[in-house]
Amino acid sequence: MIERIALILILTLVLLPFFQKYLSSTVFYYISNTINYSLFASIYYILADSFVENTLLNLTPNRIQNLSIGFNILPEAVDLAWVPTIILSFVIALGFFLLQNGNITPRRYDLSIQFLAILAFLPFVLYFWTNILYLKENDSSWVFDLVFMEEMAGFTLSNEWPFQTVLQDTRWQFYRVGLLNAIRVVILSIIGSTIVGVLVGVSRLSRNRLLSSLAESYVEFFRNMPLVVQLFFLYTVVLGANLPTFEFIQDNTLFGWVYWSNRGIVGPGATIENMRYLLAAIVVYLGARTYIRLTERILPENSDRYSVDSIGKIIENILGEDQRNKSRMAVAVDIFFSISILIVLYGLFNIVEWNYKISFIEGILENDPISMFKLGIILFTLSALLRFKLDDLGFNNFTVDDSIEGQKNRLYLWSITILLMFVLFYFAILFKQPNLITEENGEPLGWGSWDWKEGTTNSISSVFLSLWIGLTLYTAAQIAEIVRGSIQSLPRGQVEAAISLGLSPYQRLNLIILPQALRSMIPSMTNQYLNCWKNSSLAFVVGFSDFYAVFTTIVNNVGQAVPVFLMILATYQAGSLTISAIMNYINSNVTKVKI
Amino acid sequence: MSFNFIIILWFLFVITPILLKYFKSDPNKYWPDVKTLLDYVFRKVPKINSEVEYYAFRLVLVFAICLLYLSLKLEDSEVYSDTFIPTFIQILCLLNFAYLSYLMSDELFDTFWNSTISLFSFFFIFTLASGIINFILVETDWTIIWMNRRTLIVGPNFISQFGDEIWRLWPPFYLLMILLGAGYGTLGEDKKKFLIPYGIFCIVLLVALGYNAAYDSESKSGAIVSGPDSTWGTTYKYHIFDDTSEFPEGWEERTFDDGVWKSGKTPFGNNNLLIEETGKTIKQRTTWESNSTEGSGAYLILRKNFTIEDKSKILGATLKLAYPNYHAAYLNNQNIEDCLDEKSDCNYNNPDYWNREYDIEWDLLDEGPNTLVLVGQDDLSEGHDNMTWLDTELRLKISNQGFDATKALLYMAGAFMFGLLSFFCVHYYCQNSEEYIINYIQSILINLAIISFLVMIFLLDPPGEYEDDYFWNAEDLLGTGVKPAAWGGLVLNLIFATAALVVGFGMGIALAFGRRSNLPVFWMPSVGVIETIRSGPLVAWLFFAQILVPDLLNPVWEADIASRVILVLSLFFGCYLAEVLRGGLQAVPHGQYEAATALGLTPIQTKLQIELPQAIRTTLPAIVSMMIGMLKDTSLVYFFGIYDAFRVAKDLPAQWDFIGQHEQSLLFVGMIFWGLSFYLSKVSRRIEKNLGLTHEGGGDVT
Repeated sequence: MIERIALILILTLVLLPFFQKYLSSTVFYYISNTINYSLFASIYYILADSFVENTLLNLTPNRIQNLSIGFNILPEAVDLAWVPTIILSFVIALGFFLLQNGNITPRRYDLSIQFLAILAFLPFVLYFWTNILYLKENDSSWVFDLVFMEEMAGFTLSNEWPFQTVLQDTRWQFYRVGLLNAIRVVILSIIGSTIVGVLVGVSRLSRNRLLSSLAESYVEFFRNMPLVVQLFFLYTVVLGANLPTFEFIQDNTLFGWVYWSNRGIVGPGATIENMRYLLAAIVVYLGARTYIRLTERILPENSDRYSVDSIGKIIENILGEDQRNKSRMAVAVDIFFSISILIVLYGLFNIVEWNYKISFIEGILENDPISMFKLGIILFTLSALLRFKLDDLGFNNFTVDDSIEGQKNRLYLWSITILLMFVLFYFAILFKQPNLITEENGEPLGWGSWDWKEGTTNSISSVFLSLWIGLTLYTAAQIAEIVRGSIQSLPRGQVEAAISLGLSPYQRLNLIILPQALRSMIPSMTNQYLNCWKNSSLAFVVGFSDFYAVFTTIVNNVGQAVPVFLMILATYQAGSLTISAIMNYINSNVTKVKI
Repeated sequence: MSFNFIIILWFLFVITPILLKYFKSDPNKYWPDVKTLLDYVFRKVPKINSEVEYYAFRLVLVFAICLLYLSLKLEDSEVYSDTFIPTFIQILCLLNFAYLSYLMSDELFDTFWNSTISLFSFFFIFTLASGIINFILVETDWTIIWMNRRTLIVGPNFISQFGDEIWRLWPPFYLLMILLGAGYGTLGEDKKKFLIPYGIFCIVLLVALGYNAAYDSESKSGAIVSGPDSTWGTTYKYHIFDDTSEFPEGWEERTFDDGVWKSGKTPFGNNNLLIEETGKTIKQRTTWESNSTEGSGAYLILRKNFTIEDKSKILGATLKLAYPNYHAAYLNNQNIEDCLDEKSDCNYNNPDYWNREYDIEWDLLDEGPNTLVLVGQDDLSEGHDNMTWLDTELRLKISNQGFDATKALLYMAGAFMFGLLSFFCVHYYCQNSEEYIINYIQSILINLAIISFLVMIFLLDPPGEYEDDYFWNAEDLLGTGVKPAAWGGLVLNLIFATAALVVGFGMGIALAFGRRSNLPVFWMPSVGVIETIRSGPLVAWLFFAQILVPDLLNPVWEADIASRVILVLSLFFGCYLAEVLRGGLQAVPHGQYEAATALGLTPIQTKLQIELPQAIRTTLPAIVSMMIGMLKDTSLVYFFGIYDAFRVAKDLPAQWDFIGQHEQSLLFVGMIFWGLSFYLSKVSRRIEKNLGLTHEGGGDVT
């Protein structure tokens, strides 16, 4: 019935302007006002009616066990739910009418409108609140606990690195593997798409018409095609149908070290034979860097106390008056930083090598890779903070010796370093050729059961490749547009000045245009990186197990959808915040100098 | 053109002159570089003056691409692939491209790096172009798309279950064409700019709808008239005769009366047949007991009468025969095979199962009653102890052309006529009108667009199902309609996108203003909603819509999956819109708000009439690109069992006739989405230009 009234009111409202000339203006104003407010009241009634009814239904006794309110709502009252709804809609319409008349101080206006808004939202909020309470008791999806995450998962995953999972692992392990999968894909895609995107964006503005039309068609093609279609096309057509099948894998190889098939690319296996040489190689690199920083450092000259915060004062108290202490402090912080990197890498390699399963910290003195890794991360963060503090105090300003002898010295230093590193890596890492097992006990197996020998391979599955390439190409097209926009927003005078200075086009690009353009496009790039992170959820299209796919499988198995959904949101939010924090740090670093 | 060719060119004509420059002062005298080479080759070609240069350039380009297509087509055909002709045509095509580069040689070949980049990007473009032309026009069989074009547009449920309800989509299509024509008419520009693309669009759509691509379906999708598993029945009328002289008169003709004969099912035999190659045994169903002991053996005649009701759907038939010694086959009095006497190709001693197959022409079949007659002879020779065997299968090839396109073509042509008419009317009216009238007409058109969208929803699914909810039962007038769960195809994507955009716009504006407010009751929920929804990807929210929203909303509103998806899509779009609008609202000068307050406008009036228009004007490019992104994101709903265009394209290769043809369907649907997005981004660029938002120039040349 109310719908008919609402329809009549709408019709009247639409037809009213045609009768305006027959009515006096006050009458017209009153009629249109009344119709407006009663229309609003009736629409509100239509919307809120069933919400109020169901709220009252939920509040009847014995519906929700854990709720105890002071009064009882009889089940018969639910049929009379239209009464409070009518009163509510009338009150709200009246309230808005009274507010419109004016003559109210701003403070009273604010309070009144907030009160009216609370009243207006009341049925909906109460409905959702009571409904959720009811669902928590009666619906298995809404049970909020995480016990099921510690049970056995019961399915298998693909593409696990560095942690393998077996059938008996808990669901937390699976979540961890999925998370690492997603992080892997997203980091590689971000790096790849930035490189490709900047290249394409710059070529888009080239003077060469062939190159610029190529870049333009690339951007237009990949930007306007949905990502789902691109991923699926890559997976089924490009990598599925065009690569040779696994049956003929022995024919598709690069000198026996790299094999490719439609299951993916298989490369040589690498194991760390001798950890000491590896760490020695890293020590060589870090030592060379510290030495260069030592020789090229310019220390702050004056000894004015110009630091304002507590850490700065502590540092200055340590330094005292001796000028050499400054360089000693800077070098000490550098060495501390290098040692922390070493510990992190040592822990990381051990985790990867030993395929370690998660456990709590058992003691730092024991040779426990996870705890070493955690110690390393803590030390790394501390030393990084110290270094930033020293940056602020002016201890890390460097000069670059551009003279011929300086360049020669640096060349010698770096070539010796790289040579030493190669030699040490050669002794440290052992590459094994992929070994295909085609027989068992002398009997040849059908090609469906062929497998690689353990430890001889490192493979990239075709699923991972398709997801990586798809994400990269799509995000690169968006980044190319951003780059083009930011280069085009530079003042034309920069280009003209560069030409008049006689810079070559490459120098112009490298020294004038890109530094300014890259600076201004970091916020937009942040947005694209966040999009890339969220687009990685499309891994289920190609069958890649990232954590979203793992969670949907868990929901299909267990059925507790709400905690799983909240975990999905939390993970994506954590990733977004991390990416935003890193990009904001880069932004603040880069915009410290005002241009 | 191979990569080696380009490398050779590069070395000969780009690297060598550079090297020569170090030894000779004027290297061009001794060895040409690319520019002088082109000048020399095309020195006799007359110069083009600048007026026709635009058209001449495009003409030569189109001609070169046609030559490329021709060469690829000839290379693929069997007749010409061995001759020199395709290579010759390709050389001509390359000469054309060289001429084009000669016209542009000042830009392309002046410095070393420029020449290198030009050569390699030309190679890339050429390979890409020839690959694309080869794939699209020469190599690929696009029958999958022709056969399934209706499924792609409206979804499989419409075709299979609601085939005669497609009339519901024609009125919205008419309205869409009228609005399109009228919209372009209000722009008031030159008529040709609209008519040429519109004409091309109409012709392409009409051809796509009306193209008759009949094809031979694979035999497994035909109907079996007679055989082991058939719908027509497997029984034959049969009789065993001792000699050919005993055959009754007219035994092979349709009019013969075989009522007195016995009935039996194939296979006929008197021993189970062992096929040595496969080691399988096939049981006989009807025993062929012949009593003759001399001569070559007795004869078995089989007769099968069947009726074909609609011959237009039949493309032909195949007849399979497992024969004994001598045999013959007749269909509708026509002799298909006659091996009753010993002939050169007819004498086989071992019965092989299923090794004779005859292709029957369409003309041989009649509409109405048909008769198939088979004769087989017993085999008594040399120790074969009556290994007599006869089995047969007649299979009709049925055309898959499911629908008659004449009516649809008429409707579509009518819609295009209406669009053209509305364009002319509105264009004539708007040509000499004031701008405020044009704006008024445009606002009317927008209202009409929203109304036509509602009309489409109303027509597709008329209300009236729940008697107490709706005060108006339209189902008596318009029929039950098609439930949203059965909608599909490209239409579904467009419906989702439009509904999500319209509803999402309202939500986004409310959230944007709520976020900017100072009152906690407004900004706290707004910030909460925006940050929560922006934290997850769209897929996660669609998962929420599928699984959790029903629990929340079912007591109040029994929403089916389509409505839930629209709700979530609009919430998602609204949050992103709120973020974009927040930036735009901050850019509105504060003086506007103060002036509005001084004039006595209420807060809502200032928001809607002063701040919002200025904010939208500044942020319009970002908003339009988000809308285009929403159109593309509607393809994600496929995961939830909704048959949108992408899902249909994914599942088309599962049809038996088109197994494994993923590329065609995926590329086609991808190109439809691409085309829509590209067109909309062109529209958005035009809007930006009209609003004066684009800025030309800046450090453009790198």
